[in-house]
Amino acid sequence: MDEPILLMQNITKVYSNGFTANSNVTLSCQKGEIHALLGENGAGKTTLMKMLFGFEEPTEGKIFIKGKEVKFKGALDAIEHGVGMVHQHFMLVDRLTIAENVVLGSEPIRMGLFDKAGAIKKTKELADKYQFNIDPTAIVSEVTVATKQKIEILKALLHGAEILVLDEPTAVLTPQETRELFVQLNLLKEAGHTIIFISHKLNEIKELCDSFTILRKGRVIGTGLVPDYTPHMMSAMMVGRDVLLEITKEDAVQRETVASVDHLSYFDVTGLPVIDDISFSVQKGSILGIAGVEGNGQNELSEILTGLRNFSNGEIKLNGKSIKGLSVRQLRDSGVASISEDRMTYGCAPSASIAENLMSDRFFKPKYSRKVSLKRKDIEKVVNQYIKDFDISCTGPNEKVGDLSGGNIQKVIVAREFTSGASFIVANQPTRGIDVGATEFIRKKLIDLTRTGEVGALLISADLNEVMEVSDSLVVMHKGAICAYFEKAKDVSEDELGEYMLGIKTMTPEEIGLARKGAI
Amino acid sequence: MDGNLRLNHFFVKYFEAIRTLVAVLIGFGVSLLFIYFISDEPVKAISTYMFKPFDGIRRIGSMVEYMIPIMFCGLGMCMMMSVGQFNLIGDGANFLAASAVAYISTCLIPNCPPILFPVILIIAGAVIGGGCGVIPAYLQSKFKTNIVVVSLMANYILILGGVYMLLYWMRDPSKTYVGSYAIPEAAKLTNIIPKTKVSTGIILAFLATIAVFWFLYRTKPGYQMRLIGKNAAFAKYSGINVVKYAIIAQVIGGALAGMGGAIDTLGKYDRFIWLASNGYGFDGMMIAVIAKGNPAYIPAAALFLAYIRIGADIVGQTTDVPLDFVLVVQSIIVMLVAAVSFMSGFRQKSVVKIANAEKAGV
Repeated sequence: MDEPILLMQNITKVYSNGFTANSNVTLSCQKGEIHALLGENGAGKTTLMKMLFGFEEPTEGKIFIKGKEVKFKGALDAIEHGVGMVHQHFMLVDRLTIAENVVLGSEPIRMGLFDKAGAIKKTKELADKYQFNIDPTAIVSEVTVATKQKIEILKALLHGAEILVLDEPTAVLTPQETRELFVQLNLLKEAGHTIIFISHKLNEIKELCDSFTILRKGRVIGTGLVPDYTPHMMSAMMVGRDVLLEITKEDAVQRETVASVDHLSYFDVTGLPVIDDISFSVQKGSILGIAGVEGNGQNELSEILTGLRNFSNGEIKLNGKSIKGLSVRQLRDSGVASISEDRMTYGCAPSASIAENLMSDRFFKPKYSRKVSLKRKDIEKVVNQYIKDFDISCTGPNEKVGDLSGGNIQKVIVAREFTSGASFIVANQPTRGIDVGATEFIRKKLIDLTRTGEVGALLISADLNEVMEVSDSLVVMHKGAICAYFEKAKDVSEDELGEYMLGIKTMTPEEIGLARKGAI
Repeated sequence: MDGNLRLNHFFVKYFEAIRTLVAVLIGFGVSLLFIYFISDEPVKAISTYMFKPFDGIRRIGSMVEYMIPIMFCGLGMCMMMSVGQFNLIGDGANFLAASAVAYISTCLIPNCPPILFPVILIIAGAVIGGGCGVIPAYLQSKFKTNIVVVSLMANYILILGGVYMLLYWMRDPSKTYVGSYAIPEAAKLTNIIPKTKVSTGIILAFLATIAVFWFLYRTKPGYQMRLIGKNAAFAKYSGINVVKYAIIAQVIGGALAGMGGAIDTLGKYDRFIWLASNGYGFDGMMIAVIAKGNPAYIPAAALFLAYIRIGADIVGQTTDVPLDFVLVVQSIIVMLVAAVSFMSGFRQKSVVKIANAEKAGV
């Protein structure tokens, strides 16, 4: 075998909270291959790539590029050595054009001034070379997520990237866009670029990649050529046990409506409709899923339903009563619980203890406090029970939430929201970015909770698997409006869902109107 | 090896306390170096600085007297910090309350029965201080003003207001120096250590420390305030009335500073004589920062600050070193305590060692 173009040798990384993100990891890539870096969330993929791109320094270990040892002090060093990175969260200037973004950092200059025509020409040439179908003069804020990703790739290529790292690029794409991306990545490969493809979607790996390295809990579990392994074998290596990929659940039982949304609209400060005349209802004993590409009004909807945001038009009823003008406390008292999509901002106080986080919505209840003071013994007892029931791994109720792993932080949040006695739960991206074990646990808890028949849930998720597996019925949101309703979430195919998510297809108002009546 | 590992665990566990201690020692060490280089008799100056504050009941008394108002201001600052607001109104609140209490006792109600008199005056100080505390808090929640800027600027108004009261409302014209009429004996706090001016105020200061700690860590309002300070967005999402409790905390913070002003005036002076801020509010800010906002550490931080202040005073009076050098010490300590990354490299090394040991053990 030739000398690898990239060799990361015996890399160890220990973070300041004592967490060992990488332990003796070796990653080696050949020129002109697509190498998959696989692992569950929290397995150490992103950390490893951060070190490759100079964002973090390895605690131990060496990095070689084309056989020469390199030490990166920052991203600029990495770019200079031909490493390009496409982050999960795009780093683009929204108000500039595509061409201006692509040349950022290596702007063409004519007579001492920025050469706009030159930038457009340069971008166009590069885009044509790899069959990227884009308009260099378009403003970035107005293009789709898929196009933004292309801009990031072009930017890296223009900076001379030979090794291109893509961090979960398909997470934000529809199935159609994913296919297009794969075509382009194969073209890049043929042109001699090396691609490191980070993902945990095994079918994509099987389709696209040549070789792979699997990380688990910061260690290399296996490495090999993709054709030699079945997805099942890789899956077993990733999680160390056979994951229950399909959730078994009983059918929903039809009960009374717990929440109904009628012709709800919300306009942002510029007067644009972020939520555009939507209607649906949620029944006790069932889960309504909301699918959609992120940023199509889902977060606003969840904030409105939990009292953090006012709405402009329409009506929302909870157990038959309007929620207009209710404070967060009043809403919670009338039976709403919610898992926020932004865990560290709204879901918890990282510098507060587990007990303090678990009590935030109920400390004032007679069970936990007297007239003025808190009942500390009673609180501790309940908190210990929650820690046990929700399998939160920690040193005790006084450990800071910020010191826990992502999955355990989410379990703390779920423990609070699921035990609040709510009749309506809004779960916004409840398992994003957490490990498979915790994901499974939380999904199962949510299903169990609704199957008691006392609770209805709204599940907002960008993870197609999640909305399809966990929900009973399903609506799709696109540009703030509901564009499809499926009574049985199980009967929908991924491709069909993708077309609605992209706005290629829309159902008739009559079909969508069924969402108002609710499931079954 | 085992003992070494235990040391690492200890270091990580008590990192914040160790870090503060090291910052204090470095600050103290630098001040010694300072004296060494500027003094012609460094040995005498240093021993004066280090040991004279404990030399005799009078000097120990001065330290304790000094602790009283700064403990109250420090506790007030802990309240501000509990809701995550760096409201620096304490200095103005302390001064205005001190001045107002002097005015009330000399001019408004000079004939009040003892015992009840100081109680009324301390309550008055608290009310005035609380009123001061609400100004920056309200402006911030209503108009989104910057709380640090507003509170710093408002301090000038409050302090000059206090000076105005002295000059135009209660100045005793029979005195050659600027001073108020004499504060009635019935208004004064009882002296508890002879030969010093240590009053019952020190007892009140410790009681206040216990009360503030209990309030913040054991009660419903205190819990809500700390949750707001740790993550206001989360507090709001949990259903806590963030604006209300943030303002209440700052009113209490101002009230504590005001009480400090009242108690200092009634415990230590015959007349109100201040024509400029005495700086207690900022001393309180400093000890609250050293105590990391935890009221339980306020007495120790106050004692330390009183020690270096009184030490510097004595050095300034008896040696050739100007007393201003103490400002250098304070600055270094506050800077090091507030510097988030200070010593984090050492901590990282310990963390790595522990992590490696755990890995080897598994």
